Amino acid sequence: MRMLVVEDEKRLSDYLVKGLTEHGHVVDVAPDGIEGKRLAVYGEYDAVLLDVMLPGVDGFGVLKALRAAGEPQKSTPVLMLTARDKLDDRVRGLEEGADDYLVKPFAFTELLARVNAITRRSSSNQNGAQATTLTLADLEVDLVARRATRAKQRLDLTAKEFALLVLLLRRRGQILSRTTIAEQVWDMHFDSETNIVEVAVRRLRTKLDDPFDHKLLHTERGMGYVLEDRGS
Amino acid sequence: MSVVVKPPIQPSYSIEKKLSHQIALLVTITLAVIGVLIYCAAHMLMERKQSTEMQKKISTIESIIKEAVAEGGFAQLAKTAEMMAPRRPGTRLDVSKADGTLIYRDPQTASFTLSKHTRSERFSVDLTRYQIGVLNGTFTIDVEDDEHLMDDFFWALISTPILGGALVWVLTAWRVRRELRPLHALANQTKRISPQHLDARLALPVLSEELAPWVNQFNALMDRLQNAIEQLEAFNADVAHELRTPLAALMGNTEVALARERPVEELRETMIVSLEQVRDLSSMVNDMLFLSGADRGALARRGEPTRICHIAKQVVEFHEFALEDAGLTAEVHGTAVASVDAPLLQRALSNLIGNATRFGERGTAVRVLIEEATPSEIQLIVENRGEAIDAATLPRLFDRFFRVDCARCDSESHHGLGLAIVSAIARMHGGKPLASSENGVTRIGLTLQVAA
Repeated sequence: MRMLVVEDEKRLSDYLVKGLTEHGHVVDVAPDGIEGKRLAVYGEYDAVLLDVMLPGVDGFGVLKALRAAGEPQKSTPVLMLTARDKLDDRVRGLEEGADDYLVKPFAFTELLARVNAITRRSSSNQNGAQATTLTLADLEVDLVARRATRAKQRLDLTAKEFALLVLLLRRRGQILSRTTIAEQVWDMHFDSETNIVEVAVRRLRTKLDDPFDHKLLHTERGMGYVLEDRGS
Repeated sequence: MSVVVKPPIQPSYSIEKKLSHQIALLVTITLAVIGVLIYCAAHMLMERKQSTEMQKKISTIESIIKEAVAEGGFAQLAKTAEMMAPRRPGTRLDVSKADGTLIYRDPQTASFTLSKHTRSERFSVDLTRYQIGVLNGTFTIDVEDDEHLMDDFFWALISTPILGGALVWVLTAWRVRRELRPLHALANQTKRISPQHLDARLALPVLSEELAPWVNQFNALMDRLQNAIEQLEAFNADVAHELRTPLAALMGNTEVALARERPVEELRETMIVSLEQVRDLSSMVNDMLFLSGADRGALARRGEPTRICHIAKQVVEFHEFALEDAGLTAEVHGTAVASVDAPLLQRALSNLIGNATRFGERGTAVRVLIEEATPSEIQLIVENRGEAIDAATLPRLFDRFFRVDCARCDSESHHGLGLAIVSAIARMHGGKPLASSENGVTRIGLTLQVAA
């Protein structure tokens, strides 16, 4: 995907470029609001990462210009990066048409997850009808019957364990942070640096992976969890 | 941050001068009014006395006139009047007939000359019995002495308010200055209070009724400030301390890792450890920013009215596995409905339940109790059975970086801000934190004001 990073702090934008490029994205950087506005309005991007505090024009100004431009209106997904933990900034950003926000300091996994979420949201499930069965290696999950099997063996999961498995399976190969998992599975909207998610993942693992030699659920220490078939 | 020294505020008036001026003015006016009244009264009395005396003399003169006319007509009258004239010095008498013909007039000699200040009274004597008709007379007396007396009295009365006012002015200034002297003492004492001497308080040997509230309020304010500053200092020290340990580990780890060639796997491991530590630091910084936001008066963003127990059940569900692992069950009681900031309440409850999970005794229940304490206040309590917390520790539970020593808690993953955040969330909802621990039951929670 083509992405625009509007960020004046060089160290931060450098690492964003590096991280996003390594994840297969093409990234442009605008070091100030004026350049950011120009690129956002006239360029074609799949997503814009927009800092709020910028020299020239601030993030809200860029956002406004972007949303006002074009016919039909540009709906490029925008992720706001706010330095201050100010609720007003977040609310204002969302009201003025940002798709999501992240408060600095944020984890890169978190950023990636949000970017994926907003770009997916904007392409509005172009895959058409959702599959009712998800598979990964010998894991099969039937969303309608709410049944999970591995190597044809039924996994006895609680409702939340099932929800956790579905989330990981839908986003297979993506590292999901504890915060994302808490938000998606339990609807907990705060940065939960508790070990609660860890406990849940551990439980899921005892049912999903422990009886089998081929492990699917992996812990990325310091970042989160990922479900993928890494071969044997 | 530089300290801005503001110029002292210039006084616009002096109480001493204002009071002494005003009181002196009031005294002068009062004395002047009294003086005028006294003068008028004296003047009236004087006139009444003069007129009584004149009436007496006139009636004597009338009877003498009658006798003289009866004895020998007008000639006798003039004779008698002339003879009697020296016996009434300072007076003058005229007698004339009804048609105006003068019958008698005191001679204009020196001894009969009157001063300019005189008083005359007319009278008439009815002599119809002697076929003479009516005689008209004018009796004049010299009142110069009385006038002089009144003049002296006038000046005495004039000088009283002036002298009295001046005297009162000086005396008031003196008294006010004396009575306000404690204010100077207070100013000097206040000057001595500084961030280094925060425990200094204002004190006066004798305290007046008027100054007492001021002094007491000031001292109470100092108590609050001292408390706040000491807490802030302690907090700063704590923050520095809390940050120093992980920073030292981070720095050390990285330096050691870079000190010589290492296989990629080992470097990777070091970086993972560093990342974990940095994330801990970042979450601590975020928590502290949250707390400072609450301290600066951030308020909860209340949503639609919801059943608090729904939020509580959600959070309990979130903790389900951890509770099970700790051998605990969970119950939610109460049905209160209120509009609250749901994410904040989730966070508070999550911290409380996490706490209860760590301290709860295996095989017991953690209970979430939701009660409407008053129509405007909801109490949210998380109760667990387990080792009691001693009374001295209870109030400190909500302090930042305060940790209860316990064998089961891994202090690594808890930076001791959990209950401070609960307390902040309570305050953001206009409530306060609650804690009690007795008979093996520990109840920690918060109150929430139902939005008006």
